[in-house]
Amino acid sequence: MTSFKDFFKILMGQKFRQVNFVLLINVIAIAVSVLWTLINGNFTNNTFFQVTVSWSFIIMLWAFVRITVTHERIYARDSYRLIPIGDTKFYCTNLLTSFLAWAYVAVVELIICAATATINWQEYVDSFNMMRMMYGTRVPDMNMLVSAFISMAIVMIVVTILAWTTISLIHLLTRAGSNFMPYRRSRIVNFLLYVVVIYIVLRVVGFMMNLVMNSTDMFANSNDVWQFVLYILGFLVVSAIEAALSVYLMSRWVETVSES
Amino acid sequence: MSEILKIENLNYSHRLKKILQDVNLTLQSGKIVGLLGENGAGKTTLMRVITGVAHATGDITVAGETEVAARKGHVSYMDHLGAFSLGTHLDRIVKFYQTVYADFDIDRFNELAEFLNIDTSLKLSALSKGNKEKFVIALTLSRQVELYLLDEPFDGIDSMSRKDIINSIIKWKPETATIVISDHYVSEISSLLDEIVVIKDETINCHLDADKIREDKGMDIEDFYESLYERGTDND
Repeated sequence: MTSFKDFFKILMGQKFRQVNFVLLINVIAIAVSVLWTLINGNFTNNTFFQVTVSWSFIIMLWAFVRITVTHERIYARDSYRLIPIGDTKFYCTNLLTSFLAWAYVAVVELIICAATATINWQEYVDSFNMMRMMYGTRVPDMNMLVSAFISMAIVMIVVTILAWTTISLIHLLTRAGSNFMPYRRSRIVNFLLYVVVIYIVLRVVGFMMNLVMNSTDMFANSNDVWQFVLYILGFLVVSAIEAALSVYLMSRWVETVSES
Repeated sequence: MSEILKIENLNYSHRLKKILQDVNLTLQSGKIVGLLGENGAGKTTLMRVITGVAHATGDITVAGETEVAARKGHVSYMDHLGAFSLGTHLDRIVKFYQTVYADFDIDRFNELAEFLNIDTSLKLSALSKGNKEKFVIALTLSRQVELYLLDEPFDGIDSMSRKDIINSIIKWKPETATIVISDHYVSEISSLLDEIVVIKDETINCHLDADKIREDKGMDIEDFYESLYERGTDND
């Protein structure tokens, strides 16, 4: 049997190479954008930071899409599914490596943004202090900003995991469902199947999320932190249910693409 | 000799179509078995079900293992490398195999690669169909397992490459291992075979010893195989 370590190494290596390519394109895009600003005569101390932040959203989205395509392909290809490893370990390793690859992109983007912000750091601090002087307590202090940043990071992590477990569930349900569809007009049938499965899964997940929100509101309407923790736990429970369903589908119903 | 593969009451349907029905088959270790049948008879499906990448009802035991993940550890199946982009270098794929399969023998692979003239510094896109097939065969035979499943290894490749592949199968077959070769052109592999299994009408039509066909029926395997279809036509 293949160990977790070896399987992790293979999947991580592949996804790491993919996101490094995305980051390389990011660096090239920033350089070209800055050069373009220089040529147009619009270059200021702010340019690097503005360009980096603008590109970082596009790059994060692109990295997410690339990782997702690989993530889903791994479930359907012989090269991976022939590996002697249990389905639960297979699923969890795939999810973990996708998440780590994406987190790596997020951290690198954060570092690049922070590095470009230092070029004009004093000006940002001065602007911040000016706003505080003008608007007083309506502008959050540094501690509140840090808390907000941490909360946002946690929400992003959980939402990303939930997005992957939901996408995988839709993909695997559709692959499993297509086994019971006729050969005739299989493309149209598969398309309709995708539409129906996406609709049903999103409705069910939406219902579960509402349930989580309502329950946490009931238990913790007086404490913001406690409520936030419960929301996060609720999201993770929904992800775990989706993951369990996906593993079941992999072990019983989902077949790989026949390549011969 | 021991029992290497046992299939009992196997049924498989796909997209509302029955592909295999009530398949029962037992193979012993140390044999080269030809899995024969027309295009679409279910040869590839049967191999995919044995490896666990397709799901059927019934019981499959490989080297005493019934659980799918454990079974995969005893079977080496020809992976057509669809997961790798055309820009992937062959040595990266070899590294992939070395990492995920503890039974992958890199020395055996290097010998096979040399024998089959495979240059692992090339990209997948640089390989002709025949060379890709040779590379896949080298990867498949480099695992040290009890059961090898070669799915139409000669499909669409020239006669020289075919000879190379046949020679590599003969040369590198471990003594106790069983190799199942599926094909619909019997003449190419008939000299290799110890047994034949014919899939016809969604099930195992016959499972016979190759020597017995030659001695008892006085026919070569190709003629015997063709006679099965002639009889079928008469009955129709």
